[in-house]
Amino acid sequence: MNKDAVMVSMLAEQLLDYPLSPRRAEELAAEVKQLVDAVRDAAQVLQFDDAPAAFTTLIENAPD
Amino acid sequence: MNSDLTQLSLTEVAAAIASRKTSSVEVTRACLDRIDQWQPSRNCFIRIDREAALADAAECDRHLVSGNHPIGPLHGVPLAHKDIFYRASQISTAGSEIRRNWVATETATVLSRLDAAGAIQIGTLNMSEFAAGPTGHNMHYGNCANAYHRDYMAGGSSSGSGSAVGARLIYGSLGSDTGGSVRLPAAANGVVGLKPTYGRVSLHGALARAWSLDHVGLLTRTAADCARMLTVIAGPDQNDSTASKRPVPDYSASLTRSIKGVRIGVPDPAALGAIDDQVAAALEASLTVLQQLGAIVVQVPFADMSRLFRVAETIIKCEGASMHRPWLIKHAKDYTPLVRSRIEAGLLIPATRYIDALRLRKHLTAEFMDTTLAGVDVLHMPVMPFPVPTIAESEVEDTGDAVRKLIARITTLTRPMNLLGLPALSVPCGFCGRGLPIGFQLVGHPFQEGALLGIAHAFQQVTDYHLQQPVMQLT
Repeated sequence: MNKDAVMVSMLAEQLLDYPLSPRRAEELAAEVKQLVDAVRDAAQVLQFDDAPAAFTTLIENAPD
Repeated sequence: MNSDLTQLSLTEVAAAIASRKTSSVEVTRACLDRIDQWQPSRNCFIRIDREAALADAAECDRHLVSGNHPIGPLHGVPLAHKDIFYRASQISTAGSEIRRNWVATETATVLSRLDAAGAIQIGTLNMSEFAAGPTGHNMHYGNCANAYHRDYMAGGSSSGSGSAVGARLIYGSLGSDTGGSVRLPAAANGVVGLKPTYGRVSLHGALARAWSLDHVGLLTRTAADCARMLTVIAGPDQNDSTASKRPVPDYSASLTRSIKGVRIGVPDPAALGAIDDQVAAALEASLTVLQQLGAIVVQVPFADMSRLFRVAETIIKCEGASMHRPWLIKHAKDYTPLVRSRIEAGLLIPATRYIDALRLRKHLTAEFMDTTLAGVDVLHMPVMPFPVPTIAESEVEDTGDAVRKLIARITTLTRPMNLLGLPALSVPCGFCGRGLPIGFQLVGHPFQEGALLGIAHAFQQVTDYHLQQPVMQLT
């Protein structure tokens, strides 16, 4: 297993109380990396005080 | 009036009951008879409430015979809903083994509103386990099959809703949509499917898939039916702080507006990824019809759909993991492997990335509205990038790469709209070579459901895709 998969395997055992197969750990590591990288790249636009609730404010105040 | 009551639309049957041209009991019996014929091959229902529905229908009829006005705009109309909506003292399975016998203690706001409008609930409908699959497979209650052919997938996760409305077993249905779960089964079964704006419809009493991206939606035979039901269920709710306080218009009134001069944005095909030729041809033909009705079609710059998809996926996985982790530890074997695997990744994503994904929604939505939606009233795009696959072709427990890629592609054009919170409507617009329905998707500005329904209604006045109906295979 690669380094990420080993970490995923350890974390999953702690969080879930059941072991993952090496293949599944590698799949999960790749899946998580893809999502984390996508959010990290997109998050370049975030400002210090951007709050999650700003989304609903934007929608709610959209013009008719 | 059509002598086969099941062939009427919701608005037609409501008018026939209200004017006492027929009775709610006759209509409910006709639906139950048709359900008896179709249920063995389609498996739309998890539970059929035959006696209760007939009793409620009889009460509706007595009310009218006594000289009273109809209770509301759905007086005596039989409906059935995805088994994710709670009704006090009744089982709500969410398509899961874990909740096979779980009894709700409260009633979903949307069910209460349908009750108050006079609707009859005829049963609960099949769905993907915990609303976590786009195909309609369910190992616990059996796969739900497509209305048009029992070998084809119904789409999910509101599979029973799509198939039951498409097969003319009921007149309309509630579904829920976190990544396409109303629009996909609507497109696959030839019916209209609406995911309203985030906050337009209360989520109270609907089991969550992912709180931030969940939307309660509707599946109906026509845009007019959808407008009638949306007017009933939309609006503020003291039990759901995410429900918008904006006033609810009469959506049926928006149907009469001409679409002349309406600006329809069409994305650059390259931005959508590979679209099957048959789907592309059906969409092109639908655009021609809309142009003939006076709409103006313009090409618009389009957002990076894969980026939107992954940000949405991060939120779904993290919220799903938080919700399911205790059960995943206690009842791991009661989850099917696919659903378990969809939840596991969320446990491993750092909390800061999840919160970043939530913070990004404002930026991504504002960017989408300022670029893609700027200057147009709606967008027109596919619901699903390829024709409806068979149940075997989309077998969710198949670990083969081809099947996994196909399943992953099903929601690529729907899930981004859940992240952006924009209203989106699936409208039937043709059939593929195998005879399965194809739909187009309209996406609008926040709270502009009326604009989407108006365009769909105009389209349905000059086309007959929504009037086609499946034929029972005898072999």
